[in-house]
Amino acid sequence: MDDTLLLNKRVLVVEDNKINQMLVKHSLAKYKVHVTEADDAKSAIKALKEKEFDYILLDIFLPDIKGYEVATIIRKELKLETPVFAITSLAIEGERDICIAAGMNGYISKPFSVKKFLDSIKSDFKIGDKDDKLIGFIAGDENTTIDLEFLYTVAENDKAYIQLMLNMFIDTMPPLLENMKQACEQEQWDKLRELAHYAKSSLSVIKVKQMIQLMNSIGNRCKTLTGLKEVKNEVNQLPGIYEKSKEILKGIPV
Amino acid sequence: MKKVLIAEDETMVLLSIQKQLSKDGYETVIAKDGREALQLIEQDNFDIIITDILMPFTSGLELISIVKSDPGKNIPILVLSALGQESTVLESFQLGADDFLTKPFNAVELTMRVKKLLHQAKK
Repeated sequence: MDDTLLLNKRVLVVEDNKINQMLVKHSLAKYKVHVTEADDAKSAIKALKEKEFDYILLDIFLPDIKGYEVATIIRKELKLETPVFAITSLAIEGERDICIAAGMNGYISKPFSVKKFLDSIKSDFKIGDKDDKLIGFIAGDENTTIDLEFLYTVAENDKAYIQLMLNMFIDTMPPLLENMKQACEQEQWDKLRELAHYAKSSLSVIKVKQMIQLMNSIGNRCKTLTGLKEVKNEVNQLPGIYEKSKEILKGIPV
Repeated sequence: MKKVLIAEDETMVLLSIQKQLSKDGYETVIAKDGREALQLIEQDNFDIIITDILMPFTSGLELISIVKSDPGKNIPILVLSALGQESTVLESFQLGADDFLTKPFNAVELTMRVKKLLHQAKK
């Protein structure tokens, strides 16, 4: 099962039934999901005002107000885009449409299971729609694709470490790219190769696919001294991809 | 607690290895270049050394050669290389390196290789 969509995610579970609450929490525990529980709509809204979440699981029948209304509040009043999944025991035709109309992204029938949740994330929450949010371990889009698996695997739950690595990447890349540009202009191919090699190390932690491809190509051309006309073009492409990566990295949840 | 020396000039990689191995329960000491690594080896006993190849002042290859030519020290060395450094990896093996990992590497693979080298050294 592709559990990377859940690893280290923060999930708000809005459910008044204690047993169902425990079932959800227990099922998610082994994926290192950080579960926050709310017994009713009021405490759910309070939690949403205080903290950020990656997903919201919302029971349709709550003691105070209906789940649809909570979803409407989340979208219209709190103006949050957090994916919301309805948990329901109903099998009424049209139920699903009502949930979607209220701004929810998915629909999970009781009893809750991780598999149903994952299926819903994949099918209902359209992956790729929000291209600056982290989906699984891959952030970005087809032009700027960032694989963060290494970062997240090493970090586990250490948010300070993730932030440190993101900041380091953002801060150290521009002077490095500038040095590459200078080395290229001065046709110092050995130096350029060394710089590309060094950049690849940083890029082995935060893997911007398109930058790695360029670094590999630049390194090879400088090593074999072939296709050197292309090198300048490749070096010049790097800052643009870096800028896009920076924006994407600033948008990912830490 | 087993003590690991990590020599790597790129800080993000250095700190990532340190983080991963700390999680695995090792005591980690870091060096930002080969010269610093050699000084630390003089002063302290390490159970394993992880080293990059291209580093300022003293390269990984020099480091391997110095450590492995000292009969008093029998420290396993794991070499970090990058794609395109295949010939250098061969050279590091000739100098006595025990294993290598190519960047980008998988964090779990790092854990496994360190564990394996320490296990072999125990025998």
